[in-house]
Amino acid sequence: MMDTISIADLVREGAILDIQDGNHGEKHPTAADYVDSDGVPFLMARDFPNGSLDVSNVTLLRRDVASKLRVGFAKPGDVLLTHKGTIGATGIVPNGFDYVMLTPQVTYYRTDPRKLLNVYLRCAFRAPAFQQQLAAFSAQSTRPFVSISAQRSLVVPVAPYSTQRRIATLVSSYDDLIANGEQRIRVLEGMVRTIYREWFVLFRYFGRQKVQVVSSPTGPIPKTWTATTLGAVVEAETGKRPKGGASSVEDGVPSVGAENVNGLGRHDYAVEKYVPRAFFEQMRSGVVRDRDVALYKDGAYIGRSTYFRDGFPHQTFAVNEHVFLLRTVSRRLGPNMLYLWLQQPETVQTIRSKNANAAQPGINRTILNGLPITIPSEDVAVRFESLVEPFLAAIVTLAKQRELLRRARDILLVRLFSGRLRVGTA
Amino acid sequence: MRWIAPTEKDLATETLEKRLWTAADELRANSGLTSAQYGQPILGLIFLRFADAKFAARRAALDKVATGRRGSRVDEPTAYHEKGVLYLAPAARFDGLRDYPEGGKNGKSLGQAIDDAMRAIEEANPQLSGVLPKAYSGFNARLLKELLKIFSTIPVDLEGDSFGKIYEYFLAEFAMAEGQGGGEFYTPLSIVRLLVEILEPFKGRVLDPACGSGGMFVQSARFVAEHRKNGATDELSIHGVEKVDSTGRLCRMNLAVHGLEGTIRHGGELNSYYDDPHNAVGSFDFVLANPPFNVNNVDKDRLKDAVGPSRRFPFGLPRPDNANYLWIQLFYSALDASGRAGFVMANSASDARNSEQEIRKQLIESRAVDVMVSVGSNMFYTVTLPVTLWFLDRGKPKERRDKVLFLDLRNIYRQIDRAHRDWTEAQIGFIANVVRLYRGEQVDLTFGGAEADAKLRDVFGKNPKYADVAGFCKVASVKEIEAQGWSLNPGRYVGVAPGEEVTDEDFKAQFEALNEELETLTAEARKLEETIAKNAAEILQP
Repeated sequence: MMDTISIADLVREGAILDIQDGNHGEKHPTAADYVDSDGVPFLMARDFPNGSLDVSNVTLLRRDVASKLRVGFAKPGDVLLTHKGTIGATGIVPNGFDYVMLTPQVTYYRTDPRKLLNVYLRCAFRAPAFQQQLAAFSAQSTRPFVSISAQRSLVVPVAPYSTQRRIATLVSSYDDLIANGEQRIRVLEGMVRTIYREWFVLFRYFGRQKVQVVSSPTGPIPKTWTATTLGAVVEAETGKRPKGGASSVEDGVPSVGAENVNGLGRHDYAVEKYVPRAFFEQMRSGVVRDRDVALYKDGAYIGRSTYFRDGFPHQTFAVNEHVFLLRTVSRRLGPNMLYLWLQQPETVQTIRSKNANAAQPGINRTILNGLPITIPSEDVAVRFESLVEPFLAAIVTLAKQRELLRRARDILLVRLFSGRLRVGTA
Repeated sequence: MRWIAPTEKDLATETLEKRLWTAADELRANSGLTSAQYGQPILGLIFLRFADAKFAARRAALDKVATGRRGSRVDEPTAYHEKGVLYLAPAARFDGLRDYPEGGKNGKSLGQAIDDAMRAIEEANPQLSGVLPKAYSGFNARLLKELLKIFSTIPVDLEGDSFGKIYEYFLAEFAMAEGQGGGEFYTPLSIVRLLVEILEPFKGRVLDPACGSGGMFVQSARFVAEHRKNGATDELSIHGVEKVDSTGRLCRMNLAVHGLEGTIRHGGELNSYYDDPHNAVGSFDFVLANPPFNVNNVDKDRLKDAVGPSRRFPFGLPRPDNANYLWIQLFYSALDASGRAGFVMANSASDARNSEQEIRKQLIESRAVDVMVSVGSNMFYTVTLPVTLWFLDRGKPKERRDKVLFLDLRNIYRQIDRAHRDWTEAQIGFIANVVRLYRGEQVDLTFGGAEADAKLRDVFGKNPKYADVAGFCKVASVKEIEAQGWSLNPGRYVGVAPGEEVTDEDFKAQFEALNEELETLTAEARKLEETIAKNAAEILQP
C-alpha cells in the first residue's frame, strides 16, 4: 500500500486550496429559478449517475439568481464529491463553463495543480480505500452524510508528482472515452428523433410523393395510414417484486423499476434492485424479452419510457409492478417506432394528462389501450424500422462499451492504489 | 448553379507517383505493418532519394569547375549549402544503401545503416536536426531492400517540383489509408488550392497555426511560382505551428523536398490555443489554415490574459465548450492592417448562437469578413462533413467595406468515386475568377485555362462582370447580414436557382449539424481507443 495523508494535511501543505459545498440556506434556488438555456449549471447528486458526473441533463439556473448566492461556486478543474444522500460519487467540473453552482449535496476541492493533480485526487476518491472511509463515516448518522469537517479527517494515498501524472493519464483515457460515448449517444438520439419527426409528424417520409393526405380523428394523415388506439396494436404486461422490498437480495435477478426507466442505453447499475431467483422463476408476466419497450406507469415520473434490446442492460431480468412492458403485435408498428413514439414529448404529455384525469394515480391498462396512435402502411413501417435500426443499435453498443470501460477503469483503480502495479512515470 | 464534372477514368498513362505508391503499398500489405507505422519511414526514404538527387547534381557541377589551384570543393558541405542543397556524407548516399547487403555488413544491419544515414544528414545539415525518421532498424531487411529498389527507380533528373509531388501523393494516400486520424495532417489538395487561389498570397509573411504536414505552404509557394513569370517563391516567409511532433517533422521534410524554408514550431507541450511561438498578433500578411473542428476541453482560464483589443482573442471567449471561435479569432488577430486569411471551418460556426454569435457580430462589424464559401460533403478523405471556407480581409477597400460575397458550391464538384469528390482545375479557376470579378480584379486564367474562361463567359456574359446568380453567388450588405441574425451561412443568402427543388432545409440543417458533431466525436473516440489499447498492452506486459 502507498503511504497516506489526511485531507486536512493537504490543506495545510497548500496542495488543496479550498473545500466548500453549496449550502445556500434560505436562499436555496427553487424550480422557478431554473431556465432551459444559457443558465449556470446547478449540480445535484442526481447528476452523478453510476457514481460519475454527467452534465448532459444538468439543471440550469438563471444567471442573476446564481450570482446572488454566496457559496458553492465551483470552477472548471475542481474535483467534486457528493457527501449527502448519495455518498462518494465524484467528478471534475469540465472546461467550457465560467463556473457551476453546487447544491448542499456536493463538495468541491480546488487543488494547486503544481502540487496535487485534480485528476489524481479524483482517482484517489474513487479508490475502494477512500470509499470505505466514507461508508464508515456515513453509517454513523441516520441519513447518509459526511460533513466537510469529517471529510478533512479522511486520508488519501500520497504519490510523487510523476506517479500522480501517470495514474491520471491512465485513468482519464477511460473517463474521456466514457464521456465521449455519452455525447455520441446524445447525438444519435437527436438524429433518430429528427428522422422520426420528419416521417411521422411532418409526413415527409420515404416515397411521400405518391400518397394523398386525408383527414382523421387525429388530424390529417396520409391516405394509407390508420388512426387507431394503442390497444389495437400492442400487448402490455407488468411484473412484480416480493412484499417488503427486494433491494437486499444481491444474488437474485435484476428487477427494473422507476429508477431505471430513463431511455434507451441509460441504466444506473448502482441503484439496481433484485428479486430472488425462485421468485423470478415463478413470475408469469413481467419477464423482459428482447426488444420490449417499457413505460413507467405510475408515480412521479409517469410517462417515461425505455427500450430493452441486445442484452442491455441485462440478459435476464424482469420489471416490477410500476412498469408496463409493451410488445407490438402489428406489422405496421415495429418496436423501434413504438419506442420513438413513446419518447415524443406530445405522447408523454398525453399520458400525463390522462393520469391527471384518473381517479387513481397512474395509468391503468384501459387508459393505456385507449391512447391514440397513428400507424403507417406496412411498407413505410418496415422501411422506417431498418432506417433507424443502426442508430438504435449503435446507442446500445455504446452503452455496453461504457459499462466495460467502467469496469476496466474500476479494477485498474484498485490495482493502481494497491501498489501492486508498477506505474512508470509519464 | 450545377456543374458536375465527369469522373475521370484511370488514365492509361500511370503516373510515376501512382506506380511508386502501388509498389510500396503492396510491400506493406505483405509486411503486416499498419499504414501508420509505415508512413513516416517511407516518406523518409523518398526524402533520402530527393536529397541524393540534388546532391549528385551539385557534386557533378562542382567536379566540372574544380581547378588545380584551389582543389576540388566536392567534399565541402558549404559548397552545397550556398546553393540550398543538402550535403550528404558518403554513408548517407542512396546508391550505397541500395547496394548494401541484405544480411548486413560488419555486424551492422541495413536498417541500422539507414538510421546512420539519417543521422549523418542531420549532422551535416543542422536545419534538419531531429526531423528525419530513425526507426529503420526495427524493419525487416528484405522489405527495406525492396523499398530502396523501388525508390531508386525515381529518375534523378526530375524537373521542377516532381519530388514534392511524389511526397504529396504519398501523404495523401497515407491520409486516406489511416482513416479518421488521417484528416488531421492532410487537407485535400483541391480545398487548399481553392483557398490559395482566392487568397492570392503573392508576397509576405504566411502563418498556419495548425499546419499539419504543411500543405498550405506548399500550395502557396506553387501559386506564386505559377502566377509569377519569374517563379521566385522566396518572397514568402513561412511560419507554422503543429501540435503533434511527428506531424511537424513530416511538415519540415515536406518543405525541404519542395525546396522551401520556413519556421515550423512543433512538439513538446506546444499548443496554438495557449502558445504563440511566432508572436503572431498583427504581424502576418496571410493566414491559411484547416484547424480541427469543434474541439472541446480547452482550458479557458489559461486564455484570459489573451482577451481584449490587440490581443489574440480580441472579441472575447465563447461560452460553449467549443474551440471554433477561438481559432477564428486566432486567425483574425494574426493579420496586420491589410492582412488576409482563408480557412476551413465547421458549418455550425456560421450560424452558432449566443456568445458565439456575439463574437461573429463583432467580426462582421469590424468589416473584415470578405468571402464565405459553402462546400458540399465528401470533399475530405475521411469524413463526409460539408464545410465552409472563410475569407477575411482587414484591408478591404472602401467600395467593398460593407459587403460580403457569399458563394454556394454545394452543386459544383467532380465525383472521384462513390464517397469522394473534388474540384477540377477548371472549376477552381472559375470559382477563383468569380471572386476576382467581385473584387474588380483582372481575370487570371493561369489556373483553369480555357474551360474556366468559357464557363465564366457563359455565366457572367461575354465581357464577364460580377452579378448575383440565384443558387450560386450573392453579395450581401452588413445590414442584410444583421437582418439574418448575423448568420454567415451562404445558403441563407444565395437562394435557390430557378427550377431547383426546394428541400427541407430545416431537417437538412438539423441533421447535418448532428452528423457533424457525431463525426467529430467518433474521430476523438478512435484516438482514445488507441491510447487505451496502448496503455492496456503496457500494463499487461509481464
